[in-house]
Amino acid sequence: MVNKGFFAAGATILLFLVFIAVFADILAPYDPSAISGSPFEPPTDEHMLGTNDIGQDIFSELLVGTRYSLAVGLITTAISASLAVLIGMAAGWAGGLVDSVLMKVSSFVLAIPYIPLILVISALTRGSIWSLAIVMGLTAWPEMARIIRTQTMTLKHSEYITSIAAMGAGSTYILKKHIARELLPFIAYSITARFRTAVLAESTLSFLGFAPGIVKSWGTMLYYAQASNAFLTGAWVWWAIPPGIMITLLTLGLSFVSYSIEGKMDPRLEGRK
Amino acid sequence: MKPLKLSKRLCTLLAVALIAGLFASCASPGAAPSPASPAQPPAPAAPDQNQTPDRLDTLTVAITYDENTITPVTYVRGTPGLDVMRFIYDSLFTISPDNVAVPWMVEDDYAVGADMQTFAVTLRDGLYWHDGTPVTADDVAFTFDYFKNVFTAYTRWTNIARQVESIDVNGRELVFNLENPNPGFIRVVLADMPIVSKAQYEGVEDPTELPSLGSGAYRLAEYRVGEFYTLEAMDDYFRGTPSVKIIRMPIMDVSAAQQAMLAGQLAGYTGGVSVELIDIFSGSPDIELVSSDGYASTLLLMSNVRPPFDDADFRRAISLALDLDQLVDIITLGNATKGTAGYVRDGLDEHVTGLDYTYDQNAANTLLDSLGYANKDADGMRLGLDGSPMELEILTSGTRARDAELISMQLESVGLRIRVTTLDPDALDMRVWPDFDTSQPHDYQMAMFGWSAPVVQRNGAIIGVCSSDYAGVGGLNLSHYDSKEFDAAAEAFLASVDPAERAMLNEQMQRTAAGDFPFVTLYFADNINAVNTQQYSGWVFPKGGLAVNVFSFLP
Repeated sequence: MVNKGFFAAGATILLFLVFIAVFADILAPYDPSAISGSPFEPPTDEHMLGTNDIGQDIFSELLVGTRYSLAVGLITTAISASLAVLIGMAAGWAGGLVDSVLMKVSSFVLAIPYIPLILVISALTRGSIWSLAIVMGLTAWPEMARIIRTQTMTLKHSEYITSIAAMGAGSTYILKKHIARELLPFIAYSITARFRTAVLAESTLSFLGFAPGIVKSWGTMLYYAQASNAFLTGAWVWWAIPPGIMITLLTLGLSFVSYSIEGKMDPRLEGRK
Repeated sequence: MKPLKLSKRLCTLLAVALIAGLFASCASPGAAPSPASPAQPPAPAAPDQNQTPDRLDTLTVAITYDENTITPVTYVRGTPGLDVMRFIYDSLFTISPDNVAVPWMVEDDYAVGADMQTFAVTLRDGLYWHDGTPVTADDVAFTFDYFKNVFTAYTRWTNIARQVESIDVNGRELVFNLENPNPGFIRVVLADMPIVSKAQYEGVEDPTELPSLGSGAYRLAEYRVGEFYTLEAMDDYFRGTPSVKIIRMPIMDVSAAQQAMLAGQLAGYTGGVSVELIDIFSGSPDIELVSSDGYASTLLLMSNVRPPFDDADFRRAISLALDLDQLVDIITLGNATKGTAGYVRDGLDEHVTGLDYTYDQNAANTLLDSLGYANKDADGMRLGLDGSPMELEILTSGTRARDAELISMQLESVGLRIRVTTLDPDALDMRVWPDFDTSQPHDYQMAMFGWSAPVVQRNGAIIGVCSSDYAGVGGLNLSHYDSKEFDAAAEAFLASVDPAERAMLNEQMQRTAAGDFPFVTLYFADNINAVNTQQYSGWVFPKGGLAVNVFSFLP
């Protein structure tokens, strides 16, 4: 089955990356912040991917950077998905004034240009991984919330929900036990999509030099490779390509998983080969 | 919700892979680098074979920052803003490529009073503003009065103008009368103050909106924000017809400019060569690489008014913990000179020997222990005086984050937990030097900062960065260092005309500052210039400056 294949591939990639993130300290041959060689060393037996502009081991940076990218993705997704589910279900179920107000708020947030907003906030605040992820989370929920709202409204008027309601079930019970369960595949799909967007946004910001502090992330690796003219010196091969591959891997893994979830949601895709 | 079709989904995934592939292949060793293309004019200046080497029609030279309209009140940075402003605005004297103050708008036979309080000069004939009207002595007198009494927001010119008590004007003759003797008046004042047009500035309270109008070798013909400048030569310039008629200046960062240089699309740019590219530039047959002593400083600022940096001993401990050799070796690959606690760079006349920083982490640890920071947390990081966790912050921006990263490691090795905060350069300026007004309170503990070469090369430069007269001569004292002993020496220095006494006072100032560690002067990066000699051969390499300077385009 195509979906199972995608899920297996995606899950394998993600598990692999999670494994790296969890055991980065053990797997990394050096402390990625330590000066373990001379600046701009090409790959050697001692430094598999050479050293960066201040003599830090690039391979160790790459492994530890996994942790940062996954953390930003997780925090951002947790915040944005939670907000989207709460707001979307509340708006869709309550309707009327509540729906109107919440959708106006979502329209307002949607109208804010995402990357420029993050750039400004990152530039002006004493940034940290938390502030970056929180800002990204707070601005990334409206799209998902709107779809959940629509789905909730549809489900609310379906025959079996009206029957349950007629039997005296309360709103909280119906939302938790029935609506939320119905929405679960979509929520799971959206979470993977949010996660992917967050990882790419973090890499973009870091590449542009807006990473908070001196974190080790794939984006900052690319930033320093570019700032140190790796594309002119030839160091791009061991300095820029590896983080690029890692970002691509994570994105692919998430895409595979989200595709397989999407297939589960639609039987027409489930059986396609 | 309608799911995407399989084929479309697969296409999306393939596109991701393709993008990755493209990313991987976006450069290859030895391939001609493709520069970030600036927005408008930069039709790259491939040399016109019909042009004579002595008089080119156009030359493309990148400017590495947007410097507004590059008037005396709108340029932003010393390098490249002030450097390029010298193309457009003249001063009575100028700093020659040999780093000597020489007459420029004035006749060579000027007179200096024995008391060093009167300076008589005669304005040259044949000076014109770019609108064709003549430059007069009244313009000169007006300029000083304007920055002294009318527009005082731009402290650099105001501090200079305040040194003049009055100016007597008689035809083309000007006599500057000073309140206090000042042997450095010609260099610090007359060679620095750009002369502006009385007709343009008179009655204007905020001149920042005025268009550029100077009397220099070039006029600003066009400026597009964030895109480019176009400078046009003044053919009747009193120092001779400039050797390039049009200088196109696309705005691009140093990295893009270096790529464009290697691709032959630029003749030069207003920045140095990145140390990792020295070998590549050296291998290019069209490019000449000239390395000389650099005077631009890289500093670790410490707020002398914020705990724990308000304690000179704590600042001393910081300096003891810093390995400047490592910074020079790693950040500049050895292409720099270490700073000294006396601030004035080795190689300048006022340099005082024996004020080198000491690197001794054991001494730093002992000192920190004795100051009450002996208790540590589970990670071995020192606690504050009240026993709470202590985290110190270094503000930085751009590639100076690497300096901050190394410094944070060095300080953490003596148990000081450091947080490095990277900011946009403008945001950093607002925290460290709000509104470029030193008298305002700042908002930082430590910060990476630096001064450009002209600021460092001045006589008495240490006064600017250490005097507590923040609104006056101490206008660059971003640490808010406040020492009565230093201020007294500085005041005596400024009032003295005796070279021996000034030398003694200079040494006294440096020794005082060296004992108090108001900041740490980390290093002075070498000045490595790259120019394309195939496109243009008239380059002049000034001492401590850039090849892109007005002397490169004058006969």
